[in-house]
Amino acid sequence: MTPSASAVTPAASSTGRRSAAQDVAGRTLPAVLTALLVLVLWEVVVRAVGIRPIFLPTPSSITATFFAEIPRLAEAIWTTGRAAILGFVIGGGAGFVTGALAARWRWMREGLLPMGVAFGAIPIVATAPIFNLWFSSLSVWSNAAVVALVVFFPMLVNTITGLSATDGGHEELMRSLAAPRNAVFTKLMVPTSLPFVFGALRVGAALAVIAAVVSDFFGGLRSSAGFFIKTLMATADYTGAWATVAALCLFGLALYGSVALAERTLTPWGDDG
Amino acid sequence: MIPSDGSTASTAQNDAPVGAPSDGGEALVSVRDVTKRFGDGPDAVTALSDVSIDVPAGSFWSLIGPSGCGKSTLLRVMGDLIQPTDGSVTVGGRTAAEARRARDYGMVFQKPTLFNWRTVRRNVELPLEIVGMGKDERRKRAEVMLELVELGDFATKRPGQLSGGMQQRVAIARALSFEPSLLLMDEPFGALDEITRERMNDELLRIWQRLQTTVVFVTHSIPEAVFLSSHIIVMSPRPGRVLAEIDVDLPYPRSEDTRELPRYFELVTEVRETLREAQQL
Amino acid sequence: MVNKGLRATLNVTGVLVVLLALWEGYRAAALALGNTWPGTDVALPIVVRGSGNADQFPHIWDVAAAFGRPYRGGGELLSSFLLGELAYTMREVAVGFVLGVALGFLLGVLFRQSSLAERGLMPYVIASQTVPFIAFAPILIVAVNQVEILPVWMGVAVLSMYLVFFPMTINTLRGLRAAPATAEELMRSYAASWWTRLWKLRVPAAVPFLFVGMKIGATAAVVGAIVGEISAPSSEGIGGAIFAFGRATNNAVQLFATTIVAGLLGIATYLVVVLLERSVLRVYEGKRS
Repeated sequence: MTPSASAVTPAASSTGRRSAAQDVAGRTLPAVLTALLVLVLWEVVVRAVGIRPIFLPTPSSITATFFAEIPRLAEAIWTTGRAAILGFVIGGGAGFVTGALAARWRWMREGLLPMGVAFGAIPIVATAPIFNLWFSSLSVWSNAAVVALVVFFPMLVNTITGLSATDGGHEELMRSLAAPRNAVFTKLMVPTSLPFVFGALRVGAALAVIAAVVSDFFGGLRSSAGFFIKTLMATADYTGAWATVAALCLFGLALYGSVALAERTLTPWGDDG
Repeated sequence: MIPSDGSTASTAQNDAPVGAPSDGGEALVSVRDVTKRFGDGPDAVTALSDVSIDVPAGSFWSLIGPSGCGKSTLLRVMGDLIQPTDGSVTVGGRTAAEARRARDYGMVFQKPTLFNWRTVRRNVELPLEIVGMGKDERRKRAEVMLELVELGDFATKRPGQLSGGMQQRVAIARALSFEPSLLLMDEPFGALDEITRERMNDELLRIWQRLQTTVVFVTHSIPEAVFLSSHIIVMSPRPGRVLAEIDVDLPYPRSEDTRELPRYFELVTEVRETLREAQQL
Repeated sequence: MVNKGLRATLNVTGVLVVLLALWEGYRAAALALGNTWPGTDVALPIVVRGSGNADQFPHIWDVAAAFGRPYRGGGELLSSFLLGELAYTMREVAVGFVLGVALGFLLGVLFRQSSLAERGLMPYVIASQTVPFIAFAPILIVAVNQVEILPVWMGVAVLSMYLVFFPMTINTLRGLRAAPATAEELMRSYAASWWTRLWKLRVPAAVPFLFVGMKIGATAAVVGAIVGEISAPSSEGIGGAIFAFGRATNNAVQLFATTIVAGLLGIATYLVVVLLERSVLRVYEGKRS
C-alpha cells in the first residue's frame, strides 16, 4: 500500500519450480474455493439480512453494473491509468538515473539514502494540490507528476542499494581483469542491482495507481476514475462506485502483473546465489 | 630450486627481476622482501614479513600453511589486488600493477564468483569482452575452453544449475580463456568434498600440462599440494613468512597411481612435519 | 577516524542545501528568463509569478514566514490553526494505527495457526497490496458515517486501519515463521503447548518483523487519514486544510506550509515507531547478553 521505507528486498524468489501441476493445484485450489465461498456468502447474507447498498451492494449487482457501464469505466480507467503509467515511467526512470549518479559519489549516496528513506515516510500524495496549481488540475501532467514523485523515492533508494550490493569476490575478479570503470558498471553493478530495481518497480506499480486515484480525489479531470467514484457516491449510485473500484483494482493488478512478468523474463536467474 | 635466504637477498637488491635465475628456468614472478601490515599503530597486524620467492615460468607452485599465515595475502599481493607495505613484485619484468593492466593474471578464487545472471558460456566470455575481443571469436574461444574443462554440454546453463565442482571448473575456464601468463588460484577446491577435489586435481594438472602455463596455488590441504606442485612453499603464521621450501620430485604426468607411490607419502609426511614445527614456533 | 554520525549529518545537510538551491535557482532563472526557455517562446514547465501570496513558486523563507501570519483576513495565526487541525488528524492516525496493528497481528496469528486459512486468504492479502484499495476511501467514509453513533473522524480512522492491517498481517506471518526449525523442534521435545510456543518462541522471534510491519503501517496510517479527510464531507484535519487551501487560488504560500506540516506528521509518526523499536530491541539485546 505504502512505500516500505527501506530498500525493498528482491523478489521472494520462485523457489517453487520444483513441483508439478499437482502442487500448483494444491496451492491455488484453497484460494479459488475461498473466493467462491466468500462471494456466495456475501450475496446470500446481503440479500437475507437486507443490507443497504450504501454499506455493501451484492456481488451480482456490482458485476451487472460493471458490464453495463464498460464504456464509461473504460474512459475513467484510461484517464487515471494514463497518468499512472506516465508518472510510473518518468518517476522510475528519474529515480534510476539519480540513483546511478549518486552511486558514483559517496557524499551523494550517503546524503540521498537517508533522505530517500525519510521521503518514504511522507504522505507524498498530499502534494497533489501543489501540482494542480503548477500544471492546472485539468492537465494529465499534474496527476502524472504526483505519481512520478511517489514512484521516484523507492526507485532511488533501491537503485543506490542495488548498485552498492556487489559481491566482494566479483569486485576482486573485475579488478584482477583490470576492467575499466564503465565495464564494472555495466557488467557487474547494473546486473547486481536489477533484482532491487525490479523490487522498486513492483512497489512503484502499486503506488502509481494509488497516487493517480488520490490525486483524482484532490480534484482531477472530470472523466477520471477518482472523480467518478466521488460523483457516484454523491448521487447515491453505490453499486456504480464499487464497480469503478473493481475496475481500478483490475487495472492495478494488470500493471503489477506486467512488471512481475517483465521481471521474470529479464531476470530469469532469480536471486539465488 | 631457490637459493637460501642469504643469497636471495644479495641478488634481490638491484637487479632486473627477469634475470633472477633459478634451477627451473627464468623466474616469471619475483617477490622481493614483501612485507604487508594491516592497520596502524598498536592494532597493526603483520600479515607478511620479508617474503621473497621466485616462481619460474611454466612451474606449478603451492603456498601452504595454517590459517593466518598470509598465503592468501601473498597471492593477492602478487596479483596486485593488495598493495604491499614494503618490497616489490615483478611479473615478467613488469610491476604487478602493469602486469595486471596487461592482463597477465587469471585468477580463481575459493568461491566460483560466477555471474549468476550470465549463462556458463557468457561467464567464460567475460574476460574476453573486457579485453575487447569480437563476438564470434570470443564465443568460439569460450566453447573451446568449456570443452577443455569438459563442460561443453553446459554452455547454455546458468551457474545456479551446476554443482559446486562444475562451477569451479567454469571459473577455471574463465581464468584461462584469455591465455594469461600466470594463473593465481586461492584455495579453489577448498569447499569441495574429498572425492570431487581429487578429480578436480587430476583435471587441473591435465589442463596445466596442455597449456604450459605458470600456476601459483594456495591451499591448506597437504595431499593436494604434494600431488599438484613442482614446488611447495611452507608458510608460518604471525607474522606470515616462508618457513621452508620443498621440491616435489614426483614425475609428471601424475595420475591416481602417483597417490600410491612411497615417495608421495614421504613428501606428504615431510610437509606435515614442517607444518607441525610451524605450529610449535 | 572520521566521526560517522557527523559525516552523515553533513552529507544530508549538503543534499538538502543543494535541493533548496535548486528551488531558489529555478525561481530566479524563471523570473530572469520571463518564464520561457531562452531564445524561444516555449513556456517553462512551471511558471513563476514572482510576488504575492498567489505566487505558485514562493521563496522558501516566504513559506516559513507564512506560519507566523494570520491565515485569513485577520485573526488566528496559520501556525495555531494548523496545530488544531494537526491534533484532529493525529487522533485519526493513532486510532487507525492501533486498530490496524492489532487486527493485523491477530490475523497473522490465525494464518500461522491454520494453513488452510493461510492458503485460502493469503493470496488475497498479497494481491490487495498491488491494488489501489485506497479508492474505497469515499465509499468507506460514507458507509461508516451512516452509523450514527460513530463520529465523522471515526470513518477516517477506519480507512487508516484498513491500510495498516495489510502490511501488518504479512509481516506478522513472516515473523511467526522466522523462528529456526531447530528451536521449534526443541519446543516440541518439551511437549510445549501451542500457547507456550507462541509466546515463548514465535512472538519473540517475530518482533523485528512486527516492527517492519508497523513502520510501513505508520506511513500508511497518515496517508489514510489525509486521503480520508479529503473524502469526508467535513473538510477538517490537515488533509482538509490542504484540500481547502488547494482550492483557493490566492493562498499558495499557505498550501505549501500545510503540505510541509503533513510531511512532518508522516516523518514524526514513523520516528515514533522507530524509537519504540529501538527501546524494545535494546531490552532484547540486554536480555540476550
